[in-house]
Amino acid sequence: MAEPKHTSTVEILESLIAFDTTSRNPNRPMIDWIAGYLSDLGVESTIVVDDDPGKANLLATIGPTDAPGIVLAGHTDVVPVDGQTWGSDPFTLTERDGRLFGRGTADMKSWAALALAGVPRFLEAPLCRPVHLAFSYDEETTCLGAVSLGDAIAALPTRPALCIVGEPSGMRAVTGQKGCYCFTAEFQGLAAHSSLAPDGVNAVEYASRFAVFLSDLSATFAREGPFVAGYDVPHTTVHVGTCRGGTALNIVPEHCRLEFEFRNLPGHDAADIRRTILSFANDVLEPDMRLVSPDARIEIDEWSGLPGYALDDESVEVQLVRSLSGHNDDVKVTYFSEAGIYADRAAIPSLICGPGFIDQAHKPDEFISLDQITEGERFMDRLTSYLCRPG
Amino acid sequence: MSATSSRDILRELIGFDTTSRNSNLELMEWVCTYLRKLGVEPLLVHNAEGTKANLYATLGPADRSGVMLSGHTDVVPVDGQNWSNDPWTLTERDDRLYGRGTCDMKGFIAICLAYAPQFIERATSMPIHFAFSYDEEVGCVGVQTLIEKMKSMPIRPAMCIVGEPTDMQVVTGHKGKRSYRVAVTGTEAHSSLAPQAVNAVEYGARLVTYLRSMADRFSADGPFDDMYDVTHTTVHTGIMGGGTALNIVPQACEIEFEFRNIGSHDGDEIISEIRRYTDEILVPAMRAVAPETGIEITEVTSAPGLDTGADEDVVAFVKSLAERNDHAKVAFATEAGLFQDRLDIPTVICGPGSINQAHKPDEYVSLEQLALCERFMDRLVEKLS
Repeated sequence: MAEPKHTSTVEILESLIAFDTTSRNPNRPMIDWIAGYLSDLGVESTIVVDDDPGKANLLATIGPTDAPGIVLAGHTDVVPVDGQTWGSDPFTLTERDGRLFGRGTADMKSWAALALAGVPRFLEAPLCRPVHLAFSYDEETTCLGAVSLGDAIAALPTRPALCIVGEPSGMRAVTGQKGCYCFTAEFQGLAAHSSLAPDGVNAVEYASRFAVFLSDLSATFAREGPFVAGYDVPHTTVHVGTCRGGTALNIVPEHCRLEFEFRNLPGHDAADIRRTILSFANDVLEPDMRLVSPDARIEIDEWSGLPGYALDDESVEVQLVRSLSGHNDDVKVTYFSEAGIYADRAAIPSLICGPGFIDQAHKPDEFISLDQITEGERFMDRLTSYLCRPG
Repeated sequence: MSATSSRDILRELIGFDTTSRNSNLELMEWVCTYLRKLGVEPLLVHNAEGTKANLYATLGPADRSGVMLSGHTDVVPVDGQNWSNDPWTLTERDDRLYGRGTCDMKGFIAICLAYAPQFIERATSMPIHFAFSYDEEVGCVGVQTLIEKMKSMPIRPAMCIVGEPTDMQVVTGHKGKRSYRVAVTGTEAHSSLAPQAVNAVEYGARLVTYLRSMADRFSADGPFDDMYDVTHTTVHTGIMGGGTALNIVPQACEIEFEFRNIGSHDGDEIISEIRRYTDEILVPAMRAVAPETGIEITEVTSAPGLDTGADEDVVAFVKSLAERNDHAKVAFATEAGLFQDRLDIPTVICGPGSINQAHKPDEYVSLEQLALCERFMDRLVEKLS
């Protein structure tokens, strides 16, 4: 077999950034590009498609299939750039001052680029244990991709020993991650001409009271805890992401739609928090709305509920990832990742460790520093050596 | 020249589609031609683009103040409405005249014009002024240029009757109305770091909730004016929008709100209280996290209320014309407040037709209402000599 062609991480990243994989778009062109890249290296990919043919996960194995290996997992989609002011085209990788700018550089195409750039080295090395590449779709919205991808990982001939999800953590092994629960609240009021405002039920006003309640609840957690040290934000947070209602100023808004989420510490019971929130909507706001119109109502749909994880500092998994990353600090994160899903669906220990920093994610002029790319490459080198060591 | 009937003139006026988004110049040209034939030279006050105009005319002695009859020439759209007949063709059915603008408010203008020959002939001691505007339906916009023009006129009308549909009842008041657009600027961040950012939607929601608490306070504690259906000032948020994705802390939120204040409730004080809340409570909390954040409140429209005292001469005068002693206040806004507020012209509202038919499909004015308005004009003619 010919020497596998080596391509640099930055070159691959440039290709990946050019795909506008905002979650509302298909990610299939990027998945197909990756499958093509792997195929050129002689690596076969499994494409996992659910209902939408435009969306796909990719799973590929390099090395022996009869030994427990390591999964390198990441998502292919990115958040929208709508309304953001960028210093350069977000879908053209742009280098400036030792930084690579582009949507997805931090969250989290650089991890995929590092893993893909590592493939020729994985192929050349006498691996005793395999490495699995697992790339999902729709992490930023529904996490649907990770569910079927998790099932595909579970169906591998040999159950992997560990899954590393390369969300931006500055290449630190992340021992704890908060849960994340997402909701949509629909407020149904009663329209009226605005000169007769008291005759209507103003859906925007009730949604606003709800938003203020959520904001105050978050402030209460910030003040009173519970607290766990090591997280960027050491307490549970509650946040309103979107709110829209009303059609014309002289009509009392009949409808308002609000999206909110909470991210709880692994020890802070999600059921309790959910109960507090729903009870304010159902027992305080709704009865008030119904004083004016019996048909007024609030409907709350929990469309995503994903637990976090907490790993023991002394566990073999944490110790291994620390040795690969070269960092020993105790890091916990407040953002969401697919690690909990892989732990759940594939029943393998999963934790986060990846290049870049979450502070840059989702923002205009998102970037990754070249230093982080270098650290990631060192990680892949150490991983290659580790996989060559007999069991 | 032989007299033209109100109905003939109304048929002409309804034939012009003067929906506010259109030009009203063809209608105005028709009115100018009509008046010039009677020897009256009207003044047209155009908008900046020259596509729309107000009309002002004096019938009778020009060297003294008289009674101004005022109305707007524009009408609301018929878009999406299901009409039984062409809205731009005056159609008689069951003693009613159907057509867009019949009650709001070309019926009144048609009667004014039909009485022009009599006004000219009989007005010896006191003239009649016509003031016909454009763009009333989109926030009393057009009449403002006419009002500016009138400020520099040597002679201003002594009183004004705005012929909005009141079933020929004498209306002495309507609420003021101001509308505002709010831009809340926060900072964006990944939602996992929410406490480190400024959530524009959450601060916007605090403002909306404060506005609602003001509305509740006015409803509970007043001030009150029992002549209104809704006896107090109302505050209401009509539109709110902010945020792009759930996992991003919203950087921007836009809100539109309005208040409608009764005469004894100072609109300046209401907006000052709102600005105090944002400037002293919300913005400092936002800036403690990020100095580039803020809340900007911009006035979009401002129409003063009408609050004419029941004991004012204009009320007694118009009651005598309407042959009734009661008076009322209404929920809808008109140009009357502007004439009173900007030009100090004592003003009441009295016109044919009912507001219940305005803005709806199959808008109509009854022949009975038109006859009542004509009787009103007959008595006005008598007072001019």
